[in-house]
Amino acid sequence: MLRDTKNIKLYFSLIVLLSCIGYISASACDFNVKLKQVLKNQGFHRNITYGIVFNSDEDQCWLYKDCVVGLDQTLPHGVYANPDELSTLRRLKKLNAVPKNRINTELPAEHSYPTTTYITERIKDCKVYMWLPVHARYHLAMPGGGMARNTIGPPKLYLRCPDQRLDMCGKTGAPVTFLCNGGSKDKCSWKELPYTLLTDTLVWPIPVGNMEHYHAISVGTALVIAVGSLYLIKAVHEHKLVTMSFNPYSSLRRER
Amino acid sequence: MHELLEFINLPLPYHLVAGLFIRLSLIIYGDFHDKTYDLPYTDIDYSVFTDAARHVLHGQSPYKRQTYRYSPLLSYLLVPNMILGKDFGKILFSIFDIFITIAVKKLVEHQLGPKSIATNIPMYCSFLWLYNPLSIGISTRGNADSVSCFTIILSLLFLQTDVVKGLKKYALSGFLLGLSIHLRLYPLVYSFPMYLSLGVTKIPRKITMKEGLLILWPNLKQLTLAMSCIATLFILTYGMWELYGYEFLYETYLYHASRIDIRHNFSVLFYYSYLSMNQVTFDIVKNVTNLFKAVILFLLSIKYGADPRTLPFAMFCQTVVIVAFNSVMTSQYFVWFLSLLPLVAHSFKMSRRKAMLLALIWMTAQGAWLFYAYLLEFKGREVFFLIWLKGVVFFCSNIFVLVQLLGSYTIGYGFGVGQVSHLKTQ
Repeated sequence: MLRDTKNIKLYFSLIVLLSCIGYISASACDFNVKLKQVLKNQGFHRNITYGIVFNSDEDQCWLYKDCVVGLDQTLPHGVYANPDELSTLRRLKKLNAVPKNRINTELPAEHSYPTTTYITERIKDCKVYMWLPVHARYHLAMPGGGMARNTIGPPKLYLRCPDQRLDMCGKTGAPVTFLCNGGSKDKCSWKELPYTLLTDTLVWPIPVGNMEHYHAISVGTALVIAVGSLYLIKAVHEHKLVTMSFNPYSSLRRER
Repeated sequence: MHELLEFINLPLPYHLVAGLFIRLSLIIYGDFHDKTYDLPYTDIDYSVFTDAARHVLHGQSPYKRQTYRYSPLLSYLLVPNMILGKDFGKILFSIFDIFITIAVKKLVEHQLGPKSIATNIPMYCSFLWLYNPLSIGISTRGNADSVSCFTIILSLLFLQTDVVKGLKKYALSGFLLGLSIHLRLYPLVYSFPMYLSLGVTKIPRKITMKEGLLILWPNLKQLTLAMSCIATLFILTYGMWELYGYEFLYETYLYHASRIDIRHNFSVLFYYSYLSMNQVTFDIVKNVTNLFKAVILFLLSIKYGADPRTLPFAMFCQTVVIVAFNSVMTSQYFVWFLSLLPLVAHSFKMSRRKAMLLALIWMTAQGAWLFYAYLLEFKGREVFFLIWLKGVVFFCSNIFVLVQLLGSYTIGYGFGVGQVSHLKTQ
């Protein structure tokens, strides 16, 4: 009887302990992340900006102290991040972004593929502001011309913290391994976080040439070049070379 | 006004210092600008050269840097960018500008004869490069074109003057021409008029095939020039091929020959190239363009290349034609002919008003194109047709201005009367 009472106490203590751990970890993993993804500027060279807020309660900001956010942004075939530009920005410590794939910056959209870029940034006061310079590729001309649409989806969001605090979170999925940052080739373990996207999917319209112009432009270009060439050939052919004897002293004499 | 005239007539070394000072100031400003503004002052090519030099320093191929399409020599030249400082290359290009100025002065002195030393005309001609906003901008933004411009002008200097005497000068001229071709490919067209300038001074309009071949038959000077040029080009190209293989050949030369750039540029062929991508197997428009270009280049060589006095004019006209007819044209290409302009500017017999008008026509046509290019690139407006129209206008303005210059070209004109007022004051 006494033994049963002891066991019940032990079970009760265990239940209380587990409940406490569960409560702590549950509150620690209640990430409640909100992300605003915006396309800035106009034309062929723009910036995607990301405003990320972790929890609205400032008391819980200590949870993200020294944590790093990693964004995995896939860009459609009509858009690219210039690897050399990113490399310069990394060297100048203006941005930590690195392309996952080899990117040919000169190909038109139809000859290219979607690419992925990683961007990392440290969390400060429960907030992170990130950006990525992106460029539009030319699209092949279409009948009627107009605008081609590049749709840029939301990024995947990862979190990496220096200690083991994320391991306590049951809600997060299996860890993913990729670069710790753009500055080295070391790899780190990241945890993907769900988030609420506060903005619409980005749509980037890009002007395209009008295929209906093709014949007019071909004939017009050939004609302009032919007429220009013949005009030049005629001028060269008819030009009579004039020679003067350079003598500033003779003109000086004339002046006097 | 009097102070300005006094400054203009200061001896060349003062101007060289002033020219270098302007350039160094802009290099310093460029650093500030790049740190402050999103749109950088430094040319994208400068980071390409620097990245390529970084690869070379680490024992790798410069072609590891995407879009590096130059000779590896250029990346070797910029290795000190990593050791001495990132602005080394820009300073080096600015120093090349100073060398070009000195070479231009010497060449114009030679063209106008010993009497020109009493005037400031050779110095004024050299100002067209030293104080040219485009040449200043190109070098201080980190574009390497001043290097090839310098090798071309130095090649001409050795060929036409007696800075070095005997057959050695032809060997040196050939070496520099070979180096220029290795660096930039387009100076290849100069080889024919330069070769001709060492033979008979006038080629008759009607000649038989046999007479033509006899004219082309090389004398010792021509042979020295040609062999030196070919040997330099071969040794450099073979050496680089040994080091970097097919990648060097493709990126440096073959890419430019087969280049299809559909993105907007000054060329009259831009919109056609864009629309015809994936459309044609045999490109009749581009082939006809190349045929016209070849005929004009040949004509210019025959007409102005044979006479050493008109050789710089032949080279100037050829460069304008190469740039105007190219399927890709950017503003850095203008430096190719602007570097030769100081050698011929004193020979244009025209009023100041006409000269200003021609400059205005050329710049306005360019400005109009730039406006629509801005609307497309930075505002995302669909203005392809208007860009094509402005490309046509710019092509026509290039041809028109060239024809006007051709009509006013007078050997020995020397800006009219020389420096009369200056002589008076002396």
